[in-house]
This record gives sequence, structure tokens and C-alpha cells, in this order.
Amino acid sequence: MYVEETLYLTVRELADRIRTGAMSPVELTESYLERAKRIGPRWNAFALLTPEIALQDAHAAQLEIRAGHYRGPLHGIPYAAKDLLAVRGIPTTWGAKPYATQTFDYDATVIVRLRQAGAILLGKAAMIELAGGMGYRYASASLTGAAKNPWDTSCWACGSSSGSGAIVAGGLAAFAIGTETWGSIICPAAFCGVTGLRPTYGRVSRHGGMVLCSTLDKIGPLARSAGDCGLVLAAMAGHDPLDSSSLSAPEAAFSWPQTIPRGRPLRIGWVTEQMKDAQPGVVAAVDAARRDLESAGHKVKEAKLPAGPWEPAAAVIIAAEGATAFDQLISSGRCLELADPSSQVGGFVGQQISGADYLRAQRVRAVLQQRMAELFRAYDILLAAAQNFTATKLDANLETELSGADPLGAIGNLCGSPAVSVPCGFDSNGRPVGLQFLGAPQADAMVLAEAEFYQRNTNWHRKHPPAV
Amino acid sequence: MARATRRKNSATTLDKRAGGVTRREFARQAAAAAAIAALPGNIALHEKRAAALAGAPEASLHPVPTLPQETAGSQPKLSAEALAEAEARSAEILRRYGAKLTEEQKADVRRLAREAQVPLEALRRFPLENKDEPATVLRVVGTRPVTAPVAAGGRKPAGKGA
Repeated sequence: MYVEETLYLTVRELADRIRTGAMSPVELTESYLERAKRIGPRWNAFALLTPEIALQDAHAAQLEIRAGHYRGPLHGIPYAAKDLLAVRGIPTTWGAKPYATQTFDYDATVIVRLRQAGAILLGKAAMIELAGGMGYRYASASLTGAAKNPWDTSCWACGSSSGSGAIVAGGLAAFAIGTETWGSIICPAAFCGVTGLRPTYGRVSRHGGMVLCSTLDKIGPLARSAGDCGLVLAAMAGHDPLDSSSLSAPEAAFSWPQTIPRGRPLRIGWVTEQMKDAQPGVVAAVDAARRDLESAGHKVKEAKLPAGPWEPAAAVIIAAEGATAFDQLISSGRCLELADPSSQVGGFVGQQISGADYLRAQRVRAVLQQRMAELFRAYDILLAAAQNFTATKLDANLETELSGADPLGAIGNLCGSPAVSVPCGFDSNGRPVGLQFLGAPQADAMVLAEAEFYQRNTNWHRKHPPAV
Repeated sequence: MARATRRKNSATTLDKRAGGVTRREFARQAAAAAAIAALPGNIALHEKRAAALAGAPEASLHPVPTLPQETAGSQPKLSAEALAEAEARSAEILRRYGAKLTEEQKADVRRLAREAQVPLEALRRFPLENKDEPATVLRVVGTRPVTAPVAAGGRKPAGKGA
């Protein structure tokens, strides 16, 4: 078994050891599985572990690598997938009681692509029921209970990819796959002190993933560094005819690492209106990060977001599309089996949104896209806190105890823009703070390169919770 | 220089369209942003934001009717017209599903329906023009590739151009 510190190495570091034979994929998989079995249940991090499949794949990877057939940096690397991604023959519960015994006879495209890259699936990461699509009031809105934050187990990991965040932060896998419709990669990355990438809409196929909101859903990695996110994205990205939103092959293709040519200092827009209600500890950490980037030669200037009802538009689109995606569940009344009181009835309200209001929201969205294209002529990247607050208590009433707008989250998701959250410090309670880099659609490489640049010059991403 | 001028003109046009630069409108938008939480599906945290600003005086759009007792004090302030629309929505939900719901769930339905009204009002106030298309567009499928007609014998017909 490898020691705990080894399990916190980055994918790149693990890959170097595996490629040279210094590390065994089988032993690495066994080590993560042992830790996941021992600690995972305490944190409600996994929905399901699949040790037999994992060990079988790890043995196959080891044989292949020893025979000289090294596939690349994910070969032999153990990971977890959010429990809304179909894996043939094993339960895919969508985090919800009505789907507790659901199985599929096919794999999601991302599962196939990660397998082709040689990654080892350890199991399914816990999640908020239906990815929060019906709304929720408590962190316990999940078939598997509230996912605890490894930094402070009295706190939440943040949904809906809460299990994915807890798994990476707790050293239970080298990386995990999450999804985001609005906030579900960026928030757990920030709360859990890990790096999360929300890729450009359409770059990663959603085929085989639970549909919540087809015009907003995205799949992306949570990992220990921006570089690791780039490696995982490179394996997952690409056109897929099975996903109608998939970008064309040249647009969807992604390789990593990339060198971004620079003819001038990067123009960074500092979005203060995103951080109006930020906690002091968050402000201090992100301000320090901004100064670090300025010291490195970047031009950081305050950026003003376009005015408009972007958050209402995103909310209406998600509610209406979610209500149609789960129409049968809602119409049959089986939504009342969900765990959370707001989840139980939220779908009824979503069903009542008119077609006219939904289309109005989509028209507003198109106006926003034009305005953001204008803004990105002046700035290469927008920078702000990933969340205005650090991890909340497990029993918090999220409808009353969390407040504050998230214009950048709404705008970024409505426009299909890529964003990365990286750890940039801690508050006075020792809870992680996240810094968000947001780029124009297709600027995945740029946001990752800048996040990686930041991480080359800081060590926040190297910190992990105390030994368990 | 020409580029700068174009940008300036463009920005002016956009600001007018936004209609969101006055203090009053800003307050309205703040209220709308706060109330988005009412709608399900904000996934991470967003549906929890409603309550925080719902009671703020500047969030008021119009004179506010008294709310039912079970949720008074935690509800967004709506115009009589908006409130009536929200209540009609609740009534429809309760007509359809009421037999399956507990009293607590019925109260939640009423609360969520009222909170959901605020973002709808914000969207409806945003000026759109006839030419503004939705962000969802139809991508046609099953099209046939366009090829030049081929004459009998496999030779292309004579014509102008290359």
C-alpha cells in the first residue's frame, strides 16, 4: 500500500512514476480503494465502489504498460465518476431514491473515453439528487446523505458534485468527474480546496449522462491542479454524434499541455460586483491572488459586467428544462419520494413555467452572448472569487443561510464559457477559498494555462486536509 | 479610430436596451437576482438566495398585498397582478397534485410559486426586439450533400465559371 502522501500526488506525478515502472497501477488502485473503503463512508463521498472492475482494469493496465504499450498520462490512474454517468451494468442512481436501482446497458461517452485513455474507474461519486434540478434546502438532499467536507467534516462539500469534491480533497482518487449546470463544479472545487474545470459547452459529450438542462449541462474534472484538469479534459473532449450539442470535431478537440503564445501581458478583468457580499476571509485571499497575478506582469483592471436579468434567465431555463426532463417523475408524483422538502415539490412549480417565458429567457440569453463577446474584446480572462463564502455547515438551511448574487456563474453558464476554480487560501476557520478564472467560449486552454501559471507560483493546491 | 467609434456607438445602444442603469431598475434587478432561488435547478446554491433579499425594501416592485400567514415575512414582495399570477399557478398545482400533498408541502408549493414569480417579472421587463432570436436554434438534419449535376456519360455539363 502506498502512503497517504503518495495518494495526494498530481496525475502528472503519478503518471511519471507509472510510466517509468516506479509505481504499480495495481498497488495504486488497491491503496485508493482501501482508503475509500475506510474513510469514504464517513464522508458520504462515494455512492458506490466497484473494486472488482477497478482491480481488473488495473491489472490490465499494468500488463499493458509492462509490455511497452503506454497509452498516456491517464493510463493506470484511478478516478471516480459522478453517479449520473451511465456505467454498463452497475447502478446509476442520479443520487435519487426513485432511481436507486436504475442500471444502463451502455457506458457514457466520457466513461468510454477515459477507459480508452487507460484510467481506472474506482466507483461512483455521491451527488445531490437529480443534480439539484428540483431545488433543495439542505445538504442532505441525496440518496447517500450530505457529503462532508474533508477539511471540516461539520461542513458540506457543496453540490451537486459534492462527492466528487470530497473524493479529490480527501485523497480517495486521483481525480473525479463532476457536472455543472450552474455552479456544481466551481462550488465543490472552491469549498473543498481542489481545482475544478467547467469546460466550454459542447466540448465534452454528455451522452450517457443524466439530462437536467440540455442547453446548460456540462461535464468536467475536479483534480489537484489545473494541469491535471487539462490532461483529463484532453482525454474526454471531442465531437460525439450521440450528443446533439457536441461541437464539431475541430472545435471540440483539445490537447494538453499547451503553450499559449503571448504577444502582450494578459488583460485580466477583475469582477468586483461578483464579490459584493463576500466574506472577509474570501476577500483577503482573492485580493492576495490578484496582487500575485499583477506582480507576475498581468494587467488587472476592474471589469463591469453587462446589466440584465441574467440570473433570472438561467433560473427559468433550468427550471423549465428540468421539469420537462423529469416530467414523468413529477407527473406521477414520485418526486415526493425525493429526500429534500424543496426537491419534493420544486418540479411542480417548474412545470408551470410557460413556453413564452422559457423562450423569452432564451432570447435574453442570446442578447447576453453578444454583450459578453464585446466584453471579451477588452479582456482575455475575468477573475473573481469562485464563491463569496467558504464551506457551510452540514445542517444549514441553504434557503436562508446562504445569500448573495452569482452573476458570473449565471453569465458563464448561459454563454457556455469555460471556468476554472483554484484554491487560493483559507479563511480564519481553516476552510478553503477558491479563485475563479473565466474565459470566452473555447478559451479552455487559456483559462487552464493561467490557472496553471498561478499554481506554479503558489502552493495552495498542494495543501490537503490533515491525515485521517 | 473607426473601431473605437463603432464600439462606443454599440455600447450606447446596448445601455439603452438594457434599461437597467437607473437606480430604480437596478433595485428591481437586484430583487430579481435575489429571487431566482425560488426556481428549482440552480444546482449549487442559487435557489437559496431568494430569502436573503426578498424582504429588502428596495426589492419592492409595487405596493404589496398581505401574504398568507404561513409564509409572511419570508416572501418576495410582488405586485397584486404578479401575486395573482403566482397564486393561480399554485392553485393549478394544487388542483392537479393536491391530493398527494401534505399541508406542509402545499405551503411549500405556494411559497415556491410566489418566489418563482420574481425572475419571471424581471425577464418580462427586459426589452427585446423582434429580431432577437432565442439562443436555441434548429440544426437541420438529414440534408443531402449538394453536388454538381452530372451529365449522361459522366461528364459535367458545360457552364460558366470554374
